[in-house]
Amino acid sequence: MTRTIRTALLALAAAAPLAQAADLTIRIDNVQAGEGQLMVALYDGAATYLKRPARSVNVAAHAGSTTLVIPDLAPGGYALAVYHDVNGNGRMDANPMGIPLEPIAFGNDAQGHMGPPAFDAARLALPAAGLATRVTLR
Amino acid sequence: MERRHFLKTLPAGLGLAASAALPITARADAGTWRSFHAALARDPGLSVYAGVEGSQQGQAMVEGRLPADLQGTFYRNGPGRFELDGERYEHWFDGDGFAQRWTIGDGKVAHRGRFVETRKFVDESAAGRFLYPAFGTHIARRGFRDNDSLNAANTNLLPFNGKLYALWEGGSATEVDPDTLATLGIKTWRDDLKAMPFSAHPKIAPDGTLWNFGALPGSGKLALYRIGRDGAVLQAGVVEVPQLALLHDFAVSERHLVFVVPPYDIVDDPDLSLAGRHAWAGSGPQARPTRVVVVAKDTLTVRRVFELPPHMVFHFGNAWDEDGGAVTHFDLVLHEGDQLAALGHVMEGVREPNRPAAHRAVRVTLDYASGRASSAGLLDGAEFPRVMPQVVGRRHRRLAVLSSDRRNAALALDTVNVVNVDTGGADSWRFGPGWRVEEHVLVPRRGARGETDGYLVGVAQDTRRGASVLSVFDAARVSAGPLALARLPYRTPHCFHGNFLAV
Repeated sequence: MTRTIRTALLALAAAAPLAQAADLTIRIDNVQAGEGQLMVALYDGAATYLKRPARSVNVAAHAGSTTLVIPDLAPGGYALAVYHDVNGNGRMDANPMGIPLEPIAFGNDAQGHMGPPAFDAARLALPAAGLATRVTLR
Repeated sequence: MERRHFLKTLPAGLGLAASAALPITARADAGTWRSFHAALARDPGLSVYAGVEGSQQGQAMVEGRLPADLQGTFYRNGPGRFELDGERYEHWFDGDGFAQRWTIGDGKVAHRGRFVETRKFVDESAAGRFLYPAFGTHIARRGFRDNDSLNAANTNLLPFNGKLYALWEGGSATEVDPDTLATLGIKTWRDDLKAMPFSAHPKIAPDGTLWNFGALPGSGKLALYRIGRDGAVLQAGVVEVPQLALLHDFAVSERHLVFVVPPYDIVDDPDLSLAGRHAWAGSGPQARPTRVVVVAKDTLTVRRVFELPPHMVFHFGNAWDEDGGAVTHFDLVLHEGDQLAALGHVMEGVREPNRPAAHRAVRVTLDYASGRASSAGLLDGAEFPRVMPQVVGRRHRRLAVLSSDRRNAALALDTVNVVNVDTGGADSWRFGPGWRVEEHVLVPRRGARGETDGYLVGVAQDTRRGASVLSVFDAARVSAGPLALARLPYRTPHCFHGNFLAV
């Protein structure tokens, strides 16, 4: 039974690019150190923003810039959030007041006011033809 | 699996920061600019609330005789830029820090002043306009990462461990060069304490240990630091204090850290500045008391909370324990009512009425067994209390403090005092009409044998002549008038706090 479902999902996944799928290419600038991971998440709605990503990827950090591609996304709007997990502990470390200790970035390089930017400010419009964007870690 | 990490950590971390939120939309204030400049044209005494441009450097003319054994540098800091692009800040605490040094030696006095080049100062200078929220002015033209993006580094200038720090209260210390005052950058005491609030009123014990705290109003969290004389963090912690509002200063005794929390509610309104979000809760039928929160130094936990009638508080003198820690005494200045809001009016050029009973230097005594806090007045019309450095955390008998003379129509700190806290007697000298006195500090003679064995050193603004003056008194004979006045050929920005570093 489980195997059947998995096979069906794989078939769907393989079929998806043929239906409608777009690639999002993200260049992450100002990577301070070639250690740890860049943790990248996409959110497809304000209700799930910074709670449940529609897609998340992590890649090894390279000092300077790191580029990655998130393939096969349904075209639409996605808010982008990135942090550099410098010490590789799988968490975004924060100081005792809750202020991030590790570098962060959001779509459109949006910045908030003592907190994350709003969903709409960090939202990218991904067309069927795909999109290349860049963000700067701060 | 990475999904889970975002789910758990990102919202939690950023959410906490957001709960200490600062304002969001922008409002320029050209009206404050116009009303202030109209008032300044009539009343040169308001020049203490005007800014300066660029750096300053000059030699002072010495009147009287500088004591031969007073040699060193008096480091001071205060807001120096209130206006950009025809807009003016709405609160005195908002201006960008202007660091100053007065060097005293060989009978001469040299002055130097320079803006602290914080990220905020650099960004706003480049843009030619204010971009970020200030403590009492609601501006939000550009997003920012965290509290250090707003750091104005404008409240104190502290020599410590061979280095010099420009202090603010909502974020990190900013290191500046002790000679040139050039900005070196944000100071992080330990990696996990990056961007933590580090108040502008650290206390340095006679053994060189630095104690400090940090608070973000509305966060309910009070951060505590013990830093060794070599700059290493020896102890750091956070205690929960509900209904925490602006905390500006504290006092340190042998065993305790003493905080006084004024009764404010923090209003959750994104269209107000942080100062504007402080709603006074000390009046009316629902009035809340002022709380005295005492933290034990050894465990960094709350030992006991006491209550005082509702008062606003900025500054403390000193604290000391008696009977093996069963009783703590401390001196501070208690203000009547919402003094935080009152400090906004001077920015429009409206002077405050002189009400000496509304801000008194007071001795408070805490009895841990009974839970009772009692108080006794020391001096009316007071502000900017200090004690000799060798008595910090120990029993002190003298309190240096400024006051506004009873005869003044409007509030003007024009008098320096050394108060005998045992008898209540004050040794005082009034500068006279047109003068505005800044904080004066007690400087011990080498090997001082008592708290009056030294000098009272400060700065006073001669607003009628548009000049700033360093003043030196004999701490034992203040009423005899200054031993020396060192007059600059220009006006410096009015400072909040400073410290004397002897050579």
